[in-house]
Amino acid sequence: MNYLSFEPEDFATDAFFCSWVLHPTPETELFWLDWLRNNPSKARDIELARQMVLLASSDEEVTPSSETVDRIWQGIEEGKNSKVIVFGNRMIWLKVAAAVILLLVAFGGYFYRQGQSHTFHTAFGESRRVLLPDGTLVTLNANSSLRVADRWGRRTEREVWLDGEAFFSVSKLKKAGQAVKFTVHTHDLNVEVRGTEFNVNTRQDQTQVVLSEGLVHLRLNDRPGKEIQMKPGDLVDFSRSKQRLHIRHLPDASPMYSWKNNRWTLNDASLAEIAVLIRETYGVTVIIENDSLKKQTVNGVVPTDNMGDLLSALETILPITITHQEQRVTIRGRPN
Amino acid sequence: MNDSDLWRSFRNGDETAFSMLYKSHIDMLYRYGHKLTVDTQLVEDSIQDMFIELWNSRKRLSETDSIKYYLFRVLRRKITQHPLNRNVAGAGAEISAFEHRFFSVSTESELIDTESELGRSRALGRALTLLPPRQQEAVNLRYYHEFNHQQIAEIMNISLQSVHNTLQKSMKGLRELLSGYSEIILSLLILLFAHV
Repeated sequence: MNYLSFEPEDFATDAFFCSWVLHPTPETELFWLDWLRNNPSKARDIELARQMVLLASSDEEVTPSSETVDRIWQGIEEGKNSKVIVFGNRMIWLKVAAAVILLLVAFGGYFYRQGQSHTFHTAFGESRRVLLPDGTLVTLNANSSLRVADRWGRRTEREVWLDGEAFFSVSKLKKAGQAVKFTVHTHDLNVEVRGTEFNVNTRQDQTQVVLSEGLVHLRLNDRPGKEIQMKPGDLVDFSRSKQRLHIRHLPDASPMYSWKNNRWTLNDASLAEIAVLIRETYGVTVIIENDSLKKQTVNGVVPTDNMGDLLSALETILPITITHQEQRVTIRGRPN
Repeated sequence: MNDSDLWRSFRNGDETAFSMLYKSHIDMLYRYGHKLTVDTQLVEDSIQDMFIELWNSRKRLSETDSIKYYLFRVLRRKITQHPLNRNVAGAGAEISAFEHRFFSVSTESELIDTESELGRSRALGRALTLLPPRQQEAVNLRYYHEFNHQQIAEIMNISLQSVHNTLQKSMKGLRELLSGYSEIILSLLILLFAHV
């Protein structure tokens, strides 16, 4: 190998050179130090290449928590003990599920009872994707539940009930040339759509709907005659108990549902507002020790994969120290 | 137990071997998965599905002397071809762009703080994330996971020549990023020669 004509990137991509940098042995050590002594003009290139290899061999240490490792393993154990999972591909699975539902329907609905449904739950700090039999994808935020009626095969309406927060990506469905309606029920209102993307949040004694694309009709629970039409970017808040309706248009609605990609997009969010989000998402008590801190605002994107990462991100943005003990998170000011 | 033996026991239906297979690879699979998508749920689901399928089809699998290589290939295919990954890729691009803007402030302050060894290595570490995603992946497979070019070609489903070119380009990119740190390099040079 004629190393004399080598540029730093050539050294860095050379297998023999890399093995010296990453796993030096007496032989490689001898070879390269000897080579360097004979070609001192190349010393700088060699060192640069060495640094490049060392840098290239680094990795941010994303490591699954032991809970995650156990949870995945549990899923594997369950999966390998049940025969149905022979279909690894979820799409095939869906088709099978749909076929089974159709079959059941064809047999005259013996198997169906009024009000039969299935409920999906998420724990604090957990989010989950649920793929419905019609291809609709629901991302369920932490501490939320979604009830799905089991009678989709027969009815001309798709219905779900939400408590908490979820992002819906509803697929268009036609039956006998007619678009099939998809309805999300909350304690305040019904969201009716045909095929679109939107976010629904029922926390804090109200229902908030944000439309990402398509068209949505809202029907308030205690005023069946009143219908609100939403356009993309519209945000509607309605609280039945407080009888308050609020409609806004956002130039960019995506921050409202960035949670589904494990991120919060904070636009002038006060620490007090963030504390509420943390409580709702991770189920902990959040105490802000100093009142003046509550008004401090944050701009930017923070990770929410786990609470630890989120808290340390906040610590780097604001002059605060956060301590987390069991179910209690305490935020204090940090002396400059 | 080496890879071939472990693999053979697993194919013969040994549950302990299967659980060892999982335990010894989960960390790196999880880490690699996160290089391919920002969607944690997708990574976890894909790993889970992969192991379930492995178990169910164990009798049909062939021999291997590198389990890691085999698993990486399957996992990558699973994640990149997952029907739900479509939207994720777009969202991911948007997010990393966001993050870049968001973190740029702290990077700057770290650069000023040249006294801090830790700050410097962090700023350097971030240099990798400035490469295009495909280059990052190839670099990660080559230098962190230490696969050879042929294996990387198979894992990423690209030609051997593309692997060469991608790595060469990545290193050129890194060289440019590193050239701003002449001071550090010089100090290390002195160290190196002291050693000689």
